This record gives sequence, C-alpha cells and structure tokens, in this order.
Amino acid sequence: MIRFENVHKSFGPKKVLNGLSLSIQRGEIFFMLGRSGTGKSVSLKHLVGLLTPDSGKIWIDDTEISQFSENQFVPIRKKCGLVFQLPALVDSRSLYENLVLGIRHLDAVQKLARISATLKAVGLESLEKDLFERFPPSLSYGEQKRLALARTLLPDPEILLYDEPTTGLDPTTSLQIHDLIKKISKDFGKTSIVVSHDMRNALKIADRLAVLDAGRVVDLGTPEEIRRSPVAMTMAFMEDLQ
Amino acid sequence: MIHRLEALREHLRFFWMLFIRLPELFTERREFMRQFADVGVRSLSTTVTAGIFTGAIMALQFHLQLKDFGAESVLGGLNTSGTIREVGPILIAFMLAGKVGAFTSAELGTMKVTDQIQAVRCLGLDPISFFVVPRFWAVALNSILLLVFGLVISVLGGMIAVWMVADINPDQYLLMVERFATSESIFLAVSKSVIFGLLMGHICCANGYWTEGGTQGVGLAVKKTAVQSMVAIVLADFFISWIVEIIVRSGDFL
Repeated sequence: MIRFENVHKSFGPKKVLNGLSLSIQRGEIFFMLGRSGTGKSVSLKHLVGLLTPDSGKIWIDDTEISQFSENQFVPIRKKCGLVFQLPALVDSRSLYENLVLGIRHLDAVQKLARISATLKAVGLESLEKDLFERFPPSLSYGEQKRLALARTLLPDPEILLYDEPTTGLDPTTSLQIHDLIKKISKDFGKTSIVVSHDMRNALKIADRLAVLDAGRVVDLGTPEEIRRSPVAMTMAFMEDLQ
Repeated sequence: MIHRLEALREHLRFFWMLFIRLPELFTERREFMRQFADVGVRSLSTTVTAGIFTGAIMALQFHLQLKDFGAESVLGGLNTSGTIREVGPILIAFMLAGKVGAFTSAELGTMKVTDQIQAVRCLGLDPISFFVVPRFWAVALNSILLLVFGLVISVLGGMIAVWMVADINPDQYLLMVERFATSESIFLAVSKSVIFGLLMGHICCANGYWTEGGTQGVGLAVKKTAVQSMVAIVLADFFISWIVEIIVRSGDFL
C-alpha cells in the first residue's frame, strides 16, 4: 500500500503540494487527474526519491520513505518503476542496451528470454530481431513510449508509476497504451498509479481516481462515483467529455 | 562573490568525485571505449588542422623576424620551442574545447532535460558512473593525447610552411629543433596538455550534468562550457608556465 500523509512541497515561492493525503491499495489502477501544475507528477517523483517532501510522510507498504537517502532508495526503485512523460530512452545506446539497463545482473540468456516476453507484452515483438542494430531515434514516438514501458517492466517492479503516459500520442495509440496499462496491471498483478489529463480513458480503466487541485486531493472515488461527483473541478473535467 | 566561490567549490567537489571514481571505468568500460573512440575520431581532423596551421603561422611569423637578422638557421628550433611551449597547446585546446567540450556538454545536457539521466537513476543505476565518468575520462585522456599529437603535427606544419613559402630546407629546419626544444619545453608542453585535458573533461561534463530548464538550459550549458574552458585554459596556462619557470630557475629541473 502507498500512503501520502499531509505532504507539502514547494519550489521557491511556489507551493506545489499543499497537504496531499491519499492512500492507494495493492493491485489497484489508480488515476491522478488535475490541471497542469497541481502536483500530480511531483507526487509520483516523491515515490522514487527524485524529490523529497518539505514536510509530511510517504509510506510504501510498511516503510516510511519521506527522508530516505539516495542509497536507501535503491531497493525502493526496484519496487517502483517509473514511466516518464517523455520516453527518456538513452539515444546513444541500442534498443537492447536500453532494455537491459535495469537487469544488468542477469546473464545474457536470461536477459534475452525476459526481453522477448516483455516485448510481446507491450506489443513490440516485431523489434526483437533488430534490438542490437537499432537505436531509439529510429522508432516512432508511440514505439518509443512502449519501449520505455518495456524497460520499466523488465526489472519486474511491484508498483508501476506512469507520468502522463499518453502525452503527445494520437487518440488511437493513446487508447492502446491505456489498454496496455490495464492488461499489465491485471495480468501481472501490478499496482498502477497513472498521472493523466485523460478523463475519458481514466474512467474506462481505473479502479479509483483522485482529482487534484492546488496540491491537494479535492475528489476521490471509483469511476461511478466520479461521474456523479458534485465537486466543481471534477464536473469541469466531466463537461470536457461531453 | 560568495556565489562565485560556492560555484568554484561545487566544481572542485565534482572534479574530485570524477577523479576518485576512476575505478568505475572498469564497470563501464564498454561505454568508455565507445566514447574514447568517438571523441578521438571526431576530433582528429580538428587537431590535425589546428596543429598544422598553428605551426605554419608561427613559423612564417618567426621567419619574417629572423630573416632581417640573417638568423634563419635557428628558425626550426625557435618555432618548435615557441609553438610547443605556448601557442600550440593553447590554440589546440581552444579548438578541442569548442568541438569536444561543446558536444559533450550538449549531449549530457540533452540527456538531463529529456529525463534520460533520471530514468537511468530510477532503474537503480548511478547516472554519474553510467554517463559522466566514462565521458570525463574519454574527453580528458583524448584531449591529452590529441594535444600531444597536435603539437607534433605543428612542428611538421611549421617545417612544411617555411619550405614552401621561404624555401628553407626541411633538414636545415630540423637541425636546430633538438637544441631549442629542450626537455624543459617538452615537459611544459606535456604538463599543459594533461592539465588542459582534465580541465576540458571536467568543465564540459559538469555543465552538461548540471543543465536545468529545457533546451534553453542546454544552450546555456554549452555557452558556459565554451567560456569557462577558455578562461580556465588561459589561467592554467599562466600558472603552469609560472610554476615551471620557478622550477627551472631553481636549477632542480632534470
């Protein structure tokens, strides 16, 4: 289970998280929605130690990670895989070298077996024969996003964090990525936390959703509850769907 | 002033960290070899061009001065000494800083602003060991080798230039090289090459790794690398020359 308890974070005079409190259950697909700058991505980055809260507590299972050092985050990062908003693939390395970054401890046979299975899971099996020759810039943006997801999945993290996974994608590819998130979460029993602006797809695949505004949760519930919510911010998002 | 001192302290801390992480090159040896080959191949033409023309320009200038005194016989020696001691290292280092330094800074900066560095960190790897250490040593060692190579080329450049323009025989040119290009000159040239190489490697990696703020940040990092490299090279040039001068005057040298 993941829990944020009254978390505050500021960048200079700008308060980004302002008493964020929420908890996410194991195996859940949890969406965090809100306008830009409401602290969605910032809260994800706290879970993998890319940011440290000014105050408040963050728990992953029974471990309080708020003030962990860089070294203490090593096992946490094995547990939590973050898929970045940009594909964030290393351009100067081949597709194979990108994929093995998180599984360097395995031998070559194990690496290839795991890569093969993961590429199949993300629908990129056609790339398998070119892994050593091709580099990320030779892929389409959608393929890069999928490959980044495969790279995050390869070390087999228990919790998957998606930071706006469909930004910059066309509606069809966006839908495919959301279906993929659902499939991976259900097939592999992963907890998924997705930061998104895409209410339409969120309502389709989420177990629960939180709507953030000004660095705190203003609405929380199942897709059905969110559809009927009287909260102004949620209603504004729902109106955009009409 | 305090801000500048803090920046200097950060640079020193970063440099020391890169230095003591030398053993990590073994873990990242493939990346180091790739970077080393890349930097070397990419910079060879620049080094050859810079070396030939630095030597040639210096030789022609010396020739203009010496012919009035009928002292053309010492041209080879004087030119070689002047070039390898002073003008050669600085000009070649400037060119390498502009090419290799700017490239490395832009590459690391782009990795930073496109989250490649954060992504590697999230996969449990240390981005300094993975990205920065191999680049620092590849740039530093390559710069040292290229500077020394460029200086050798500059001697040839000077020899060819005066042969073509002033009709001075290459044998005659080389005759005085040994007498003027003393062990002290060579020591000075190699010292400068080593220090300039380490400075260039550090400055481009530090500015690249510290890039903030999107594409504008990358531009700023490249600009900082160019300016800081050149200032650092000029300052280092002065201090190395000064220290070697003190050593030579003390009479302890070789």
